[in-house]
Amino acid sequence: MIDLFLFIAAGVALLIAFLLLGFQGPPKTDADAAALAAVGQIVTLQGTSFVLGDRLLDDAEYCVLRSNPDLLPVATQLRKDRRELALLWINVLLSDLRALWRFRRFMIRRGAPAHFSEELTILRSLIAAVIVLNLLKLSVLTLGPFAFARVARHACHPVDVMSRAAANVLGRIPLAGWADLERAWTSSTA
Amino acid sequence: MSVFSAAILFSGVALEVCLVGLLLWKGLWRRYACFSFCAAWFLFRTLLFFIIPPSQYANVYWTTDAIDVLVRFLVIVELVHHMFPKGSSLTVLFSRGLSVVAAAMLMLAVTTFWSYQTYVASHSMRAAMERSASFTQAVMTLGLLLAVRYYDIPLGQQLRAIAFAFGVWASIATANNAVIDLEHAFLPYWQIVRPLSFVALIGTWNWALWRLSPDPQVAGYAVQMAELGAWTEHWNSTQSALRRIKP
Repeated sequence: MIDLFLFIAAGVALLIAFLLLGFQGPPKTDADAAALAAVGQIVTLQGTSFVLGDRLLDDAEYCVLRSNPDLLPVATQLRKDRRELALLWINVLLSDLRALWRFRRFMIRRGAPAHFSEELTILRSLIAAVIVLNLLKLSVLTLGPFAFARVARHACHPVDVMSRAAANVLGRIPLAGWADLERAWTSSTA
Repeated sequence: MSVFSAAILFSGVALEVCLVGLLLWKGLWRRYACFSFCAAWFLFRTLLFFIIPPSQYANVYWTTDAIDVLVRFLVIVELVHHMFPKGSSLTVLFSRGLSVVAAAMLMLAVTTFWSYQTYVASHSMRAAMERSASFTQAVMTLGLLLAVRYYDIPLGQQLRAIAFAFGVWASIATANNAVIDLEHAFLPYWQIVRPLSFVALIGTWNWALWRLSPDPQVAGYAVQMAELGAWTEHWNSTQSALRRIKP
């Protein structure tokens, strides 16, 4: 009897797994590495290049300092500094997002092929990312830098997504045109 | 035979004929040889039931059913053949591991079918055989699809749809054949699930071959043995360096 129940459970679990995998669709073709690197070069991304985001929002040092009553003022100062740095980082990430979005629109304006559905998806992710980052900013302001540390560690993710979206469009432009594009972009942002 | 059963039977036959016809007409039988053999077997088996005398039906049904369970593994062979073409880096990487996993899965299927518990609990040996084999086939298909996703292997829409449909059908068959043995009160209802899901499977395969783009040939980047040897050497030296550093 037990093996029958096990087979029923296994069958249902496998069915769910297949359906979930099926609804996810085929793996999306990732942006060309060269295009991705070129996007990073053309649009200077300061937020994503900051590699110590994890350390910034990690409360381990703060907890150690707080555990010692003599070091409480130091802990408070650390928390304050971290809060300012986290806010600065989120602001830079937001400006990165806007720059990438502007760059994508710039490429499309200059004739890079794109689909309407793709544009809608990008717009939707941009809006979601801006909302999430602003909520994060609010939480850092009101609850401190360590309140949603785990969520905050993934703050770079929306910028990565936008960066890949821009790289996808850049990948559709012939390689020879990238230098012209970079010049035009630099002059338009100057 | 009720109208509903007749509808399932004749739609199944029609879809099987269409499937074999599509494979021949589009010349896909060359590309999907194992899958084509499987489709041809399904059609042959169904047509056989129309030819044989009714007194022979039960005997032929059970014999062909045992063969059918084995023939279905050809769908998985087809998937493996396209995922791991000869000389590709993934084939070199998995050559031994794949055989071990496949052997382990087959042993699991045989063990679950052959176990003492099966004989005690089963009302029908056919259901026991079906659920063991279907479970193995579903797990193998899921494993392959997960590998496709993990390594971004360009499997192609046709083969992907074929694999998904087969996996869903095998999962349903696993659960359905266990439910049949569990309680016989709803047997007439559970018995419909299998042919219905099979018709849906053949229908999906028809759609996949008719509408979707054929399987792109996987870019066969043949790994040179010297290249692989150099990589292994570097890897080993990294491992030994790590061992030295590790306290």
